[in-house]
Amino acid sequence: MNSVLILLIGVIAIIVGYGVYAKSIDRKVLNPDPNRATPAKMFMDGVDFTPANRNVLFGYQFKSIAALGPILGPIIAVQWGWLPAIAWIILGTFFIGWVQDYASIIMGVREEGQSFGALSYRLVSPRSRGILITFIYFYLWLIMGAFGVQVGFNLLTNPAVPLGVILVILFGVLAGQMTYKWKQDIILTSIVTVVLSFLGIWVGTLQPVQNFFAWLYGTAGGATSPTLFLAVTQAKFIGSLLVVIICYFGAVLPIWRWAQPINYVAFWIVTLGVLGGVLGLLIWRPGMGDFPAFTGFNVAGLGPLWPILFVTIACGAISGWHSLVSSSGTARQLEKETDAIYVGGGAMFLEMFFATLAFLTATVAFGSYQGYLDAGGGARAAAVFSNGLATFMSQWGLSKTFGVAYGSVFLTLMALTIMYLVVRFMRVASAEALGDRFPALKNVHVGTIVALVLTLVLIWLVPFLQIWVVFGAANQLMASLALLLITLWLISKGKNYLWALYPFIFMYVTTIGALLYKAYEAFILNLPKAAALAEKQKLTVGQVTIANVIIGAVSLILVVAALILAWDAYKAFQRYRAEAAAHA
Amino acid sequence: MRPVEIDVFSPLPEAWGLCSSCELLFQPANLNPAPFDAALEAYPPEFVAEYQRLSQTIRLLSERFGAQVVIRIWDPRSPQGLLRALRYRLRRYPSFVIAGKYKVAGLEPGQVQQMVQKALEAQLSPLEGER
Repeated sequence: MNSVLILLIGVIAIIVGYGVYAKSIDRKVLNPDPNRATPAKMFMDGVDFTPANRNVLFGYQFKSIAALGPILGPIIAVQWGWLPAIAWIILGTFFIGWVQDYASIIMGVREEGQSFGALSYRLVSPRSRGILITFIYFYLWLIMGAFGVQVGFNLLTNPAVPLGVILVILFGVLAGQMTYKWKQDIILTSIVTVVLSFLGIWVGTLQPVQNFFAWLYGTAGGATSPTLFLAVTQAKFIGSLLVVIICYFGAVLPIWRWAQPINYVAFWIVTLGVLGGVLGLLIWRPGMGDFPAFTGFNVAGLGPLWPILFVTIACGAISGWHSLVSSSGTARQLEKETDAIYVGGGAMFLEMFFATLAFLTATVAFGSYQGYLDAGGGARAAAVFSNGLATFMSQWGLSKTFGVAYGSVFLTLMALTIMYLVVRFMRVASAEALGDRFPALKNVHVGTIVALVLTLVLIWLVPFLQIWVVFGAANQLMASLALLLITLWLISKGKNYLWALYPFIFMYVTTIGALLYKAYEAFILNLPKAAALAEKQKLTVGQVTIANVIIGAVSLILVVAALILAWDAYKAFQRYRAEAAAHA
Repeated sequence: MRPVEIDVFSPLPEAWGLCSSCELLFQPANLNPAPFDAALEAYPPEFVAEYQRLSQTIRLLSERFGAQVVIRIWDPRSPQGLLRALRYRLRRYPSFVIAGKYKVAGLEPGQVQQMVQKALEAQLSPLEGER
């Protein structure tokens, strides 16, 4: 299969899915009215409720939904073969993804911009809001673990990468100083800091710099980095410490001093990287070589295709995360109801295209399945992406070494922007929940360090693929909740609800299946054989035990949350049906 | 009569909303808003003072001209803001561009009001605007 053909199939899916199916639902079922006042107009406060041009809002929606999820998920999922992965990306978006994003916006608009928590409280039951918050806490912890492993273990351990990351961060800080303190022209600031960042990435790839980091990591002369404890090598230890140190500054320094200007410089690095990758792909137009269409139903380290594939690729096909963005954010800024399909549906189909590009970095960039595995496979998805992107960019002449470092800095910065703020959130949450009992947690530095230590526990103890699948399942549980709310809302309004009900049933059953499988795998399959697994994976028995207890327990907690939610929803469903019958 | 468009260009302070996705995730948790507000207060005092003066100027423009004007605020670090800043060749912030042709660099409320008045008058007699 040629990469251009895959892109063509993606374009056809967008034309038919967005142009025909989505627009027909929009026209025939929800009938948006361009003259009806939206919450953005009704409650305009210039902060949350602000009418925005549909193109601006499209950008906001896309920026909010497209982070590392659509990049890493497809790269991990191709381990079942390229066909199941691309089929789920396209069909998931076609039948479910846009449904959730678009309907969440319309529901938010018609319910006066109420947040998801408030809607679940009203449409399902009061306790569903608590379930949502429980989910969020686990979700954040899993985000820190998943991103932390990829950045600390897989990206920063390449000796050509750390100095580039450090220099780009310093030039980001310089951008903040130039903007807010020295009041320099923004265009000049952008040119100076972005050019310096490119130079910084290049300097990081110079041989003396690489030699220094190789010495620091204990990998000089091609040696294997020595293991310090558990399965943590010297390189991984330094990489993960670098992550928490950067996150510490991001979480305690003023936003203008660190997170905001670094994010601004990163925006240019990411945008230019994507453009460079697409250009290289179009020049090269490679095929998939011997990359298998289907490798088998069970994949070691991940599990069975159903249900695990459907939680491994979340963003890029369907992601519960988007429903939060759509209902709480976009719905409050929509100028006209008729913009919802363009913003919600359109951004989802564009994200499908983005996921397809990530899928291609894994399937075509290395020329073979073995090449993909040699680049790191699913467990080192971030490294696969940076290598794949570098291969694409090398087609128009960019050096491969620089390209790999560039791709690694690109992903590291994307991950860190989210991680700073997640740490801030964990700090505020722990101060509120436990601050009265442990006053030290109210201290900014103590709260931050506690959050970072918890992150290190996950990074050092639990294998990435385990974290990723449970993280994906938590995300899809959110999607199930969103589709459930949409279905109940449609019923309560007397509208056709089957187009949301069937996706809800599929996502709910799949998510429960995935979580039960992970709990079964952790407690029944893995724990009794902890010693054998530890020997096979070169880990300690204690590490295997703790990792499986964490994964199994989180999975079970999420299953219980989902079952309570389903029971409450069933009662709400009956109530709305009875009300509808009474009105008929 | 079509309202006169006033484009205002200035770097805007961002708090936790820097990551809009993260901010949305935080909302349902109903946490104490103080740390979120503190993030805005941590900007350099001179930047905060200027931002407050800018807000006041925008409010005054809105009060004085009402439905005769449409005010849009652009951060020149956003893609759309940057493109417009390049188009109008802006070097200083804040800057005001009125009706796409009258430019006021710096925070000069009196000058901005004069230019808006001029744009409104030009709309009433189109030939004057071309002069």
